[in-house]
Amino acid sequence: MLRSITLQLTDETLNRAQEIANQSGKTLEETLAGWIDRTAASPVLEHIMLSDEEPVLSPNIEYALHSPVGGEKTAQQLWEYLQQSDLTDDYPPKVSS
Amino acid sequence: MPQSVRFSYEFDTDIGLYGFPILPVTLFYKDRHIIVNGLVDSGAMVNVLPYSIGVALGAKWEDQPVLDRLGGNLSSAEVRALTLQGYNAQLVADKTFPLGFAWADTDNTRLIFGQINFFHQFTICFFRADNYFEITSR
Repeated sequence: MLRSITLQLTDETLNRAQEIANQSGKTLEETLAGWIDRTAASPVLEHIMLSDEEPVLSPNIEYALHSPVGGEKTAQQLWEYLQQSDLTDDYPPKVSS
Repeated sequence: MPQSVRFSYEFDTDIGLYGFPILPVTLFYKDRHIIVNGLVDSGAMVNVLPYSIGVALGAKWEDQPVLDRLGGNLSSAEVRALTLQGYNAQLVADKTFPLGFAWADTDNTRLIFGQINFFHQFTICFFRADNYFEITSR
């Protein structure tokens, strides 16, 4: 069921929403509703307690991290190589003096 | 239950500060071994082995499979895959652990313990402000 509400938005947010609406061919209302729907559907949202200044992370929740850029393909290749290798872990290995 | 082992950050006499999380490990390859000090680097995607260490262990460069090049100061280096066994008595007393390395054709790098596959085998916590880090075998 769809319901109508009144929002008070800053000029900056309204201008940004209008800009996106123009680009996408949607109405301003449809664009804003889409933003809210997508944000509300985020599983992380309910675990973020909004303070006046900034979001606070909650314990026992796994948050996504951005991995360092570079070396991902090499890492994938190395991982596949390891899966194919004989990785015996006996100790001590045979060592010459 | 696995025990955490605490290591101190290495003190850098040049700058007068505790600089890096360095871990001593004995590397084994076939019938050879060598003791190295590696940088425990959570920002590194892979373990990295300088060229001369691989050679000292008797590995043959041309026999190892080629990997894609890495970034940063190794962007111009060719890298190949090499599997070694590592040993540190404090971490795991009675057995070695497998270490897959991106073996670089240069010595212009530290030996690095990175995400694949060092961080896959150990839980590591850094307490940089207190100048130590802890490693727990999984």
